[in-house]
Amino acid sequence: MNEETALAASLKVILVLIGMALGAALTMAIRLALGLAMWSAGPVLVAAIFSGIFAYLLVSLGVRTLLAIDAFRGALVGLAGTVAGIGVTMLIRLVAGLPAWNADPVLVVGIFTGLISYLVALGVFNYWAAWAIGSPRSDEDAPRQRGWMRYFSVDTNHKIVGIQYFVTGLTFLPFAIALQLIGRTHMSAPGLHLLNDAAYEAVISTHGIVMFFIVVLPVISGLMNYLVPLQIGAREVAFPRLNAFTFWLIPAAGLLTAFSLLAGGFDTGWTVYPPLSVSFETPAMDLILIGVYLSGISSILTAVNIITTVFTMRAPGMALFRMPIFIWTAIATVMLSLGFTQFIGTAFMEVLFSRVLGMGFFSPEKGGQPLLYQYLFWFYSHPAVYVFVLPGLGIISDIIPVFVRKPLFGYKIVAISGPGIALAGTAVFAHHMFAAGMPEWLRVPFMISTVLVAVPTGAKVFSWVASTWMGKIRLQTPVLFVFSGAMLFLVGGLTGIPQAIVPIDLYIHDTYWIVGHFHLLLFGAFLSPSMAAIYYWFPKWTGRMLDDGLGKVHWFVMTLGMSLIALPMIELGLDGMRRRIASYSPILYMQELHIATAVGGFLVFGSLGLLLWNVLVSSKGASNAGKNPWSAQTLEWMVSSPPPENNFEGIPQVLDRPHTIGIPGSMHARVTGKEEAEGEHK
Amino acid sequence: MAYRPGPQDWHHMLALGIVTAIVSGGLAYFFLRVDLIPDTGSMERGLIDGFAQDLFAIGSIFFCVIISAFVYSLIFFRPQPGDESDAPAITGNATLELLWTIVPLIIVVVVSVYGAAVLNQMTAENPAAAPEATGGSGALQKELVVNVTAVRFVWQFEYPDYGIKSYALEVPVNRRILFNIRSGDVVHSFWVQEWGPKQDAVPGMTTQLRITPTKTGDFLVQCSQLCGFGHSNMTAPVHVVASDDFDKWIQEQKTSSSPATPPTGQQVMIDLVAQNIAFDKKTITVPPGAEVMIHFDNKDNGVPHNFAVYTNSTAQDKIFSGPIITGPKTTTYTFTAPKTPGNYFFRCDVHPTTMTGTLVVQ
Repeated sequence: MNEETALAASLKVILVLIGMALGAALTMAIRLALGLAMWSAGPVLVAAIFSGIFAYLLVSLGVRTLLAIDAFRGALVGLAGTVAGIGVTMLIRLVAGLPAWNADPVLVVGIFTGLISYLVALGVFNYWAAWAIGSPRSDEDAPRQRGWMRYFSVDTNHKIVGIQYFVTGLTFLPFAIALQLIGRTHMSAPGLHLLNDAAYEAVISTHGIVMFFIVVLPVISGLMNYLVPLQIGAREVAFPRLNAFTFWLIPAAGLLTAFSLLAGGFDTGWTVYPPLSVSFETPAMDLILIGVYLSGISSILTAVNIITTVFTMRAPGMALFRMPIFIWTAIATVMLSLGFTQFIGTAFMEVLFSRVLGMGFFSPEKGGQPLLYQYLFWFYSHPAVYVFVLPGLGIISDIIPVFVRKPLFGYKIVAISGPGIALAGTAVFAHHMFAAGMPEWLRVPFMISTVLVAVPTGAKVFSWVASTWMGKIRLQTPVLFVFSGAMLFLVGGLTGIPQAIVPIDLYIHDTYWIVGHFHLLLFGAFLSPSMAAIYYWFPKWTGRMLDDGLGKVHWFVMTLGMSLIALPMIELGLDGMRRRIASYSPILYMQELHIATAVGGFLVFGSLGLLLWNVLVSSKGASNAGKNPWSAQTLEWMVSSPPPENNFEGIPQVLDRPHTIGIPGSMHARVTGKEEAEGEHK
Repeated sequence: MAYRPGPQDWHHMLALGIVTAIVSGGLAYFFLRVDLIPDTGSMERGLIDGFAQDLFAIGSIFFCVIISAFVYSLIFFRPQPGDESDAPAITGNATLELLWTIVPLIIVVVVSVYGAAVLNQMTAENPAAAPEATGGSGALQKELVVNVTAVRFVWQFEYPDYGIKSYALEVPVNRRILFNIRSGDVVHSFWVQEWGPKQDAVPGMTTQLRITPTKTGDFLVQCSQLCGFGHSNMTAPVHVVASDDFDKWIQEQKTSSSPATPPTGQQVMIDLVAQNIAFDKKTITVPPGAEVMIHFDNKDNGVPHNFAVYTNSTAQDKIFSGPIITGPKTTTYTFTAPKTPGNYFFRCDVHPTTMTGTLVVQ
């Protein structure tokens, strides 16, 4: 290194440090102005880190490049909008003769003004605004950025949006796991007292919210955005601009939910039951309510997009019973999102209005009813669990045939079982409320509808196993994740049956059994299939293979970790250990089981490091994947890796079902190249 | 072109059938015999336990059928090294697919009907079918009514038939109890693990739970619906006692709540601060028989505390228990010290394990 570059590097470091110091100083000044204690480690350190990152970007990219990146401009203007909104609200309050600072209304207004400024500055509304005022529009479909900057800008290509969703979701995954690692470490030794009770509840509550709304939903949206057009032979989704808009809500939702910890944390659990969430919570609750609401809007609009795409843009010959199972489950998933997300939106908005405006939706003393919230919440949140698991079941169903070198056993029944599970899942929501005080006779019909879900679910699992029978199983990383996922899902499903049965549920409700049950399901039908999806489609996304050996180590560590987390919880639940408690007596409940879940958590977290390593190693390697490294048959494997900007040069012809592996002369689809396509048109 | 199974397929299926039968039989037997849910303490829990064991046995058979077939495939259906060809194109089998739709359907319907029957037995107002509920005498006793009130982190029990209030739940064994459950603030849930079912306490309405304890001993009411930062410690002691002992307890409670014995005239005043879930004093010394005034300062924002005195640290026999106040708030408790010199026990009833101390009478 010569002297000049060394000087430049040290100058950079100094500027970054100055940036951090300024950020910390500003935060402390604001805290003093608000009448809070000057020093609070969390907010000050976070401000310092963010301003450090800002300073680093500024010195290494320069102002011009930085402002050209939509995400950055949006964040900056969004921050300014928040501050302006807070300032104006405080002024209005002063003029009205109220004390200037009241956290709930002031913050909520600030968040809304910040959000609108952020979206406007991003440019997601540009096209629509131009259209509305009738001004001439440039060709919006041409990407405005090149290379890596596309991923940080508003881009309408479904593959870019898909990756944006997927990576954003996966970025919040280690954060949400890390939160719970603190919680599990706290629980592994009752005498440790790592956290006080309120902090423990805040940690587990934030873990739940971030996982469901900032990790699971975006990862699923990402997979659907990337794969649905490719797998049905379309060149885009139906509404690309809407698609870009829905994605850009997610970073805002993610930051709001993550920053809720800095606003004091909330201790209601992810269920946010009032009156607790209305009367006893810090302003953190407002951030959570708005964050989830944004994620919900994104979910509904994505659903509109995917449904329209699948029903109107399939390639010629792509009959419903020629679609890959992932498309079937995606359709079932988005139908649920479209039909039910409004209910949690309503419930959360009503809690927000109760908090900020004093409305009494759920307060008996104001004529409200606490159970109303629970009905609304579960009317969405039960269908939501099928939103979380169905795409994963589709991935499992589509990957198995490729690696056992056989057609999928009972394609039609597996295809129908996706919408079947979704349909059955709409009529079971009250099984979350068997002990809640709903009319007693209602418990029996909901018990029956709940156990009926076992039938289509069972059919899926049986079909998977039958698909492996007499196969030629190639045990590569994607299928290992798929197999272990299917088995975790099986155990999760079976533990669901005692829960559905009212008398037994009244005992295991709100114990660790429930926690173990849904973790098994999410591990089996979300996390494992997502990992399988990464190993399976990474070659398609990047043109590079991930290392299979390292992948198998990742699989082993992660699967061991997931089992260690969830299975001891089932036993703890049978022993009667309540969920969401911050301390317990080791005489009553086995400490070893808590230690096992903590160890499992660390294994899962560490295994993500192996994945990251694998991705980094492969990014240095050669672009070696080719079109179709797995000898798969669905349409995305018939184009180059990564696929061309508009997916298909010619119009694909779909001829048969997917996964007709081993049937002589059979072929799912035929894709024509550019030259041939041009020939067809002449 | 449909795939036709050959003799090789039948050999595999026979082998799999044998393996599955052995494994599933073993696991089902295990689940029927092992004590799955420990410490049964009520008629209702007995019903739950029995049903759970049966259900686990059924579930384990399904589990074994699937796992055996899957592991069998993984072991036997692997390609030879270098074999890149595809496997036989088996696309499905209508009989099998119908079978694994219909059989689970029948099983889950039967199980849920059975479940409804058990639920009916548990919640019936007059469980004539349960001999435990007759107290062994053959004649059904009247239900004992207990009104339960949950407020953040404290349980209160009221016996309307006797006009008694208590922070501990005292009930006779083998008698059906009707709990009328209310909440004063947020949603809580009333649960005694050994008794089985739980029931939420919802503000603005009264929910009901019927329990027939069958085992004497000390248990805990635990709040099992997250109610805030003090949720973990929202418990109350439960004493299930013989019928005679219960009557005795009722009499004691009635007398202790009647006006106290006239004071001896001597008065002492003591300051006591509760902060960060702790008392500022570990010992309080008072003269025998004195009228004690405790200036109680609860500095914990949003946390309820009180001051209560018992004969010893088992906290079975109460001398005095002040009303609970939620901080920040101050109050004055007045009680008469015991006439017999010695060491007594004081605590906060809300935090019976962490906030304790010794009352020295000398």
